[in-house]
Amino acid sequence: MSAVSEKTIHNYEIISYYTGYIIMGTAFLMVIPIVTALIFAEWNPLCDFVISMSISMLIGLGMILLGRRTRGNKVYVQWKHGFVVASLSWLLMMLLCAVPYSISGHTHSFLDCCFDVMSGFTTTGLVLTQDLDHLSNALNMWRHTITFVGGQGMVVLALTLLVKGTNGAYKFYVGEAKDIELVPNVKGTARIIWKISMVYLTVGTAALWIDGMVIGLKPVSAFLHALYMFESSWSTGGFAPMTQNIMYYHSLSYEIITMVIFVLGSFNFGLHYAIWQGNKKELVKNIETRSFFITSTAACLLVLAWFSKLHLYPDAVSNFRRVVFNIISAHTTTGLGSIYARQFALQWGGFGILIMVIVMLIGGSACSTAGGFKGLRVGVVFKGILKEVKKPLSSEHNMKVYKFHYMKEQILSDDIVRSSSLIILCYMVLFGVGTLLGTFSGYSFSDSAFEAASVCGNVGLSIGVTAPSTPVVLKVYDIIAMYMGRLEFMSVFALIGYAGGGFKKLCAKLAKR
Amino acid sequence: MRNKKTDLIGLGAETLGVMAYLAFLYLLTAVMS
Repeated sequence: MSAVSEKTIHNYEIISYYTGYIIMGTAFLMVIPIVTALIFAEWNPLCDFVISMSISMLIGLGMILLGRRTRGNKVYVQWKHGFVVASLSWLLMMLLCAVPYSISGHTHSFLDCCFDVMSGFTTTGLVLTQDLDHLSNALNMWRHTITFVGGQGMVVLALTLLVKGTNGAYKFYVGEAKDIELVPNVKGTARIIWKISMVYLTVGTAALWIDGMVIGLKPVSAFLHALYMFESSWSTGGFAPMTQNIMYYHSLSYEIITMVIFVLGSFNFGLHYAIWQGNKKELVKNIETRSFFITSTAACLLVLAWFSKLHLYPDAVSNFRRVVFNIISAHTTTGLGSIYARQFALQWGGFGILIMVIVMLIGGSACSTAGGFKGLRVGVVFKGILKEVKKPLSSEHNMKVYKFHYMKEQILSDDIVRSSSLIILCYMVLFGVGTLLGTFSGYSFSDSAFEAASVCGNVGLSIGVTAPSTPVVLKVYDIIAMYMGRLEFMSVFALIGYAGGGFKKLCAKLAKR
Repeated sequence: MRNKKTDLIGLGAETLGVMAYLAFLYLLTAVMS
């Protein structure tokens, strides 16, 4: 065997081995809906999940066996492995997690199942599943579990829990678009991320549970609703157990608690960690919280000024519940909606939709559960522009060093500004293509732009475009856009490059023969 | 992360910070309505 093919086999083995473990992690995750089905005596959903779990375990085990030579050998995990494993496992997880949806019979096609799973894992929140109000508890638990796990990062969770001594775990971690190291090792960082999320899960679910009982839900139902709504809000997901989304509860207090949770969920895990370590000033000094404060306040002010002309909502409370709630939900990329989808199109007018599109694209914080091109990059590019404007005006003898505060004082180098601008450009291209496809499919420009921003930014608010009747091309594009938006492009590009390279080699071999 | 007390203080500080921001947005809404 030639050296080149030996190396190629080796790469595939590494990728197969680690991807197999992530698939096994996904299979173990199905224990949660299985236990739920047992508790509520839902026998059909129990069978659905046992079948799905068995398929995932078989595929996971098969992949681990294919790459078994990786075990024991001290394999050096390269960046390309990290990126390809992260992006490939997200695709495989989408297919495998769609199986219980498909068997449940609540979707029109397997494509719709994949759409919902990708929407869940990427914490987008757009839904094609039908008759949400009558889903089994097990399937509802599954929908919200994948959203919760997707927000924190499935790849890192699986690798840190299932693989001992993962030398290249940081590369998988970066491959999943997380880049902050809270402690020197990734295992410790992943544990801290999960600890923060679990503490908030306990407190947030308790708050929503009590409030649920106050507004008239029965204790068990109130608990399930609280758990689902917490998982959805904290992960800036946007799923809800009922078709009417947050409107089902008709409660200002429920809306305020979820608002607090999704704003907290949109913060960087590094920021949570810094504050929990006693560094409370980070909350006001951090470039991301400053950027979020400025852009969200400006967006609220502009839309409220627009609505003061329209006189659509009668008082301050109505305006807060309908306007501020939706803007903050869009800006944090949550996607819980306190009005019906078509009300955006029919009542909010062009200006309201434009502001919503902008905030959905900006999104939340880096290394959080939120999507969009992130407040960090907006702040960095804004400071970069200021730097360029000030440069010619300052003295040639005094070279000023420009800085920004992100966990610590950092120098604003041209490289940082360039890489931030590039990612923003990628998002804009993705958004542009989505808008083009929407208009080509027959939707109005504003509807297409709204839905494209919602998909690219992993938001989940809909203006009415996303439905089972949406053209297949648009559904496929939405799946790709959610996937690319969540993984922030690099991993997906790496997978395409890797697959393309393999295909080229195969063609060359066939041509030689 | 240091101990449960500092964790809870951190959680409380974050939650209060966000609630203060939402109260500010409500005041803004009341002024604009």
